[in-house]
Amino acid sequence: MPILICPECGAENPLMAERCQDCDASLLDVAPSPSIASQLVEQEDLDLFPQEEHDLPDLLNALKQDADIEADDQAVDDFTNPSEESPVSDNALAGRNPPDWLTRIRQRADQEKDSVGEVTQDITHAQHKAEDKGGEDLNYGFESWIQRLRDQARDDAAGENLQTGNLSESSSDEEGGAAWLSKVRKAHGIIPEADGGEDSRLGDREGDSLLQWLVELENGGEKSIPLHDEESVGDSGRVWRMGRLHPIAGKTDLDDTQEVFTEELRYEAPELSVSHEEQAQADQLTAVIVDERATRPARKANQRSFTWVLRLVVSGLVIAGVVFSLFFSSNANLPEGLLQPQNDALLTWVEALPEDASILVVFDYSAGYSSEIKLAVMSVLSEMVQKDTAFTTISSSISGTLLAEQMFSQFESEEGLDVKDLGYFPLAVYGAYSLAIQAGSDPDIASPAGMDFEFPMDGYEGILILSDSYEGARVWIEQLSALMPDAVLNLLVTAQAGPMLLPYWESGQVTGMVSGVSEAAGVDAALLDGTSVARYWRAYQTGILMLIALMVIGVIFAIDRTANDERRGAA
Amino acid sequence: MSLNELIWGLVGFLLTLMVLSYLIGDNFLFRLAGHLFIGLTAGFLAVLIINHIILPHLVTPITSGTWIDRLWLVIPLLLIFLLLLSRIPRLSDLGIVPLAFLIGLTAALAVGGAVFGTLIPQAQDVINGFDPNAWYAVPEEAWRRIADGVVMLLGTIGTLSFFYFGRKWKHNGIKGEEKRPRVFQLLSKVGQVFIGITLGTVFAGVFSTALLALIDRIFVVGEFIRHLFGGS
Repeated sequence: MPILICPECGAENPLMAERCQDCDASLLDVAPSPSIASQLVEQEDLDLFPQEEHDLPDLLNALKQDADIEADDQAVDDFTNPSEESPVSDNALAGRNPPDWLTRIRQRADQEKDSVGEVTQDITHAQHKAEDKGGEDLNYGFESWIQRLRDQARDDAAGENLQTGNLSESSSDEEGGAAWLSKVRKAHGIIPEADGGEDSRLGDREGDSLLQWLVELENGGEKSIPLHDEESVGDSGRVWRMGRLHPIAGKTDLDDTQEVFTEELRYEAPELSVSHEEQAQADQLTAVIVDERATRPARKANQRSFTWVLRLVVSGLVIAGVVFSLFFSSNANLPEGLLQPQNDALLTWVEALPEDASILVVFDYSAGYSSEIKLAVMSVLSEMVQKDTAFTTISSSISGTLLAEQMFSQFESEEGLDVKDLGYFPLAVYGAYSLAIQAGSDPDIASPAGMDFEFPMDGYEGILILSDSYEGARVWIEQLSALMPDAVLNLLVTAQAGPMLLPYWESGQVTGMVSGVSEAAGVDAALLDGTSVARYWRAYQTGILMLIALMVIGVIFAIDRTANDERRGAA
Repeated sequence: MSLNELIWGLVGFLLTLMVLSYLIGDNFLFRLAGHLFIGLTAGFLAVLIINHIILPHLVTPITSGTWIDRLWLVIPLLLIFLLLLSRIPRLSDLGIVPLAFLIGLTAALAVGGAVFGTLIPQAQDVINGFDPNAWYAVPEEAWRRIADGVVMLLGTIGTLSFFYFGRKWKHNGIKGEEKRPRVFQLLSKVGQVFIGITLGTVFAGVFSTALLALIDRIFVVGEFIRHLFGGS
């Protein structure tokens, strides 16, 4: 049945197909060709492999078949016309037209870099090398080796023919057999079978397997490996592991338990062919390696010490400025206008809190940021404590439970302080989700097993999220605002998290928020007297001013240094 | 100053100095302090997980919980068992089950939260920025609100355009001269400005937080020294 072969990928397509089923290439201009199956039927007489070898890659079979056909034809020619000068197989090959599918497989093997294609390309490369050398290295290529064997066998057969004078009789004689055939068998390591005629021929083919053919290719015909040896160990090199050869289908009974043996062969690498471009690249690589290994004068020590001293001086200046602001300057009042709208919203909510309210406090910050968080929180918490608020804490940071303990320990003097701890959740998303689910359901069911705790019947009046990072606070906001839409969320976060969290306040998901020392100072001034934050605020201003000045100086020096480097480079 | 305060104050003072010694370069004291913090954190985390997770959520329900509580524990126990089996090389594939459960659950929660907690509310807020009723709710601030909405819309579209990774169009139908649509090129420039401002703000915040941490450490060390020498 004719088919359409895709010109792009070589896939078979039905005759009526307009585009390739594999690569979607157009098939409008492609002429129909017979299918591979029909070609295989036509080539059935050439298919002399055992049935099991059809499981091997098509490429190997095709290559082997080609070589076997060539050898068989040559042998038949030698039998029938022993005295006739038979041409070299290249001529015979030139006249033979292999099927299209075989040609395609060979082309793909030449182009593709898979395991089989690589072997084939190595072989082809070796053959081309042998041809380029004008036949100097005939032992290298498989064809030359075959040719040499054939010539030798033909000469021997011709010699025997002269002695016996009857080639046809000797060819059918089992014991007398053709000497060339015996030599070929000996070279192949094949033990001749007792059966004559066609069986004998098939017996020869039984030993002439794909493995042996490949092995001979690799060895360039110099070495023949006995097939049924259990182990053949070479000197060194690549180890080939292949299955045992199978008998021809229909001639010998097959069993499922095929014996497997291992052969270790000496691998001779093909001769390298280096182009001018490759040589130039190799030279360049060599030059780079030599350049990298070249000894160079070490960096001057005084430059390194200068950097070290500069760093220490700059840090000392900043620390000195901060120390002066913290300990030696007079207390100044906080400036007006520090309160932002989001801070106002938080203050409004705190002032509107009823007595005995329930507040959930989420601890999602590390100990390193506790000072900044405390600046923002302490004034708010103290206002809540005065209203006998009940607190529930939950933490999603490692030190959260300790930080909660430390924070509320400052209100121990207050009577009736009610603080419950829900514990630590390694992942904030789980903590937020489980809290939202449990707090919104029946408190009797929601109480976690093993915990002596019940969620407030009326829910929480508000949730305070204390966080040092945008990601941590975002997770809590997302889960709580999605699962508890009525919950009042308030953020008390560090300056690095504040800007990214402001959109949540603008969208109304968060009621109020305070971030950074400047806003904390404003809130503290509004709720308390502001003295606790004023000192930090002043030191913060000093530090910021000094760092800005140092940055400007650093930029100037960097520009100057770049200019010097450019001048030096130009010189 | 009590003995307890003196000892821990001294420890804090020395550790602060050891960390600050990095100013003169990487040295033994800084590395010692780093290793100390890492070791303390790991040990504290182990104790924390035992006290806050394993004991209350696993051991206590088994010992004193109801049969329903114990039945529910079969699932986590099975997952724990599979995770432990994964340490055996031949059974390592079994560890995929609890990991898949964990990753799948986390991804589901994260995606659900992102969609319903961020994407939809923020998109709704951008849309609300163009609500005329909101504009004129306070007549004096009408123009400010309008400008607010325009800037917000411009920033949103510009930022999204900057991350436009769609297929490039052919320019004048000539292959090899493919360019993004001009409107996206223009908007992405605007988006770059917004992204730059955002990143600059974030950097300023990080800078501010770090400076405040330094100020706090200096304050703690200063207070310790002051108390040590009899200051009130």
